[in-house]
Amino acid sequence: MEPDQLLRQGAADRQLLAESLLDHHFASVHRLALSIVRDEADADDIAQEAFITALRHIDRYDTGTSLKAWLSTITVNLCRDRLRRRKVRDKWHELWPGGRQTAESPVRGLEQRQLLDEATAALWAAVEALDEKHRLPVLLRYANGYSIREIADTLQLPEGTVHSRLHHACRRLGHILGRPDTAALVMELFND
Amino acid sequence: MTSLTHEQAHELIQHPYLADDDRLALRRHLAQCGDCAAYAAFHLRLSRQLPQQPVRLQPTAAQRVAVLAAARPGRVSPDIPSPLMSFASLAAIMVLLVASWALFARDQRAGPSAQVDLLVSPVQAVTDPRGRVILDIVPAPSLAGNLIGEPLQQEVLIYLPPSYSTGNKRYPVVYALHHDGEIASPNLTGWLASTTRGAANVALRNGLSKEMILVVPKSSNALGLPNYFVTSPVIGDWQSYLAFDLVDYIDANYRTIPEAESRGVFGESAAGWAALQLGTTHRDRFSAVYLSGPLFLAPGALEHTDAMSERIRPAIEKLFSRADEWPANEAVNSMASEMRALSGRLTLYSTIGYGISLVPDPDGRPPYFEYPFTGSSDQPNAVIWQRWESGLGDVPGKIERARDGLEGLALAVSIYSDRRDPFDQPNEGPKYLSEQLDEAGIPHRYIELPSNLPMIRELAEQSLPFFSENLSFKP
Repeated sequence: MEPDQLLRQGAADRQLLAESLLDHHFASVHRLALSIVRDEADADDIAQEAFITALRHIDRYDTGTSLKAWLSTITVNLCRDRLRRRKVRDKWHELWPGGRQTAESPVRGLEQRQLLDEATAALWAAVEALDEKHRLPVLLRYANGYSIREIADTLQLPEGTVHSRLHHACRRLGHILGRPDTAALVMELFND
Repeated sequence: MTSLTHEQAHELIQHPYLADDDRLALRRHLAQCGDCAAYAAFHLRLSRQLPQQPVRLQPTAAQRVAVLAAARPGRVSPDIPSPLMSFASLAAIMVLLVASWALFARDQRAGPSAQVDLLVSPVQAVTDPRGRVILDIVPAPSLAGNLIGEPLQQEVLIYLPPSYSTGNKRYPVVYALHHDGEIASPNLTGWLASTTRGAANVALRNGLSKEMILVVPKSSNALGLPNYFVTSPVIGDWQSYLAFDLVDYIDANYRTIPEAESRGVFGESAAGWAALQLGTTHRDRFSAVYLSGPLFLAPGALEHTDAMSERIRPAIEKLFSRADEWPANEAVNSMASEMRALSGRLTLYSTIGYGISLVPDPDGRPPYFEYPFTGSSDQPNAVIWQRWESGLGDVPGKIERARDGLEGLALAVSIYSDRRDPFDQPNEGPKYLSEQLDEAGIPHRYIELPSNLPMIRELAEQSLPFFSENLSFKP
């Protein structure tokens, strides 16, 4: 049964709810985490934490709202924490070079799974260079397929702000990657 | 028509579907506003290049255990460390975290045997009486070189029976090739998931079948057309994917009995021939085949099918003439858009799917298949017509060539009386196949079903019991 249904029924069986949440949302939560932290091991940790957190605070979830957005908010916040700690840890490693464990590639484990061509890799690098405020809406929209409404609910912003963040993000991408060939692409948008 | 503000243009750029007047207004705006045009261009580029396939579709056993443990009332779950800790103590914590992460990761990355050990843990002994349907991604190197953008990582639904999560038992596997139905990933309430699990539950509850693992590949191909699961230079080498890539992956990652005596293939409708071909070609991998209303062409049937009718011909001819205009590097995308625009015209889907699977264009020219009518004449091209006939016709020839593989194979064929096939014809294929099997002296079970029987009932009452009787449950 879908977790929404279980929650609306006020299901007391938390094991069933946990299984249902995992069955229906694990893949998208993991994908979301991975798109933000770009490290499989971190994404695994975050995905697990997200469900544990959700189950611990399930009473705070309002069944009238989107469960996906609620889980996404939890996930995004965990990702933000992780990224902040990573900055601190990197700084620590700078101060104590002998303490470094292994050379950690920011996209560890991903090369094998997603053989990125050069253009796509350049695009990803440019997206990663964006500041968090602009990068998150881009990742939610394009790497995870969220609608404007879902992004607004996840990041707790008005829809108009989501639109303007996406627009500014694309402007910044233009600065990093150079202006795209608009004529050809616009023709494609409208060629029937 | 008033002109758009920039904000309105931004909203329209993000809108998935544009009404005609919105489209025109946006076009005008973009012609005059370089900034918005640049935005539209980046939007398109990001839409194409950023979408990510999920990399991990199901939690590992360890993750599941940890989450379920947190769901138990009264258990204390680990707290997320506060980011306000002082730098020095944070550093100390980092060392500990990195060390324990390294240990944890080693456990996680070990193979299936490590997963089995964790499942015996007393923390998680949860039996879901309904069994579990999960989604996995299977590497598909055999599909390399296909022309329609079929990914080399394939989504697959897997049904694990109720006792799977407790204990170390191994199970036989049935590979089920369906004609239709969505996987609807990652929402697992699609038709394939609910039908598979529902059928298994009904069969178990009524003592009709023993517990088995069921593996269900996606029933539509990358263009959204029915997957005929055969080997074609256009759609890819599906027979090798199924026999090798998929079977090896399932055996490596799930507790299967990895023997031919414990593997069966189910094929429905358009996927019927592929299932039979798979089972008979790879007798060292499979030992039982069940065909549900399989699609085969009896002699003379092709000309009465919708595929060759005056209703469908113009649409196909139009597709061919449009295909001539597709730029070479955009051909697959153009084909995909065309297929999306066909929505609702079921026999067209079946026809084009048949074409690209069984009558592919030998030079790989869009739209990737050959068709006997070209619009310039009412007379079909005889050579191409013959190729269409052989696709799912020439049943005696197919049986003859598969004779070795049919030897000792447990085989069942069902027919839905009075039901129309994917070409909207009275379904004669299964009856014809059964008659030809009889002619060739090949024993098989022949099952007649009422036309309104839902698939879930056939699976529960006929197919799963058939496999349960004919597959070996001893590892």
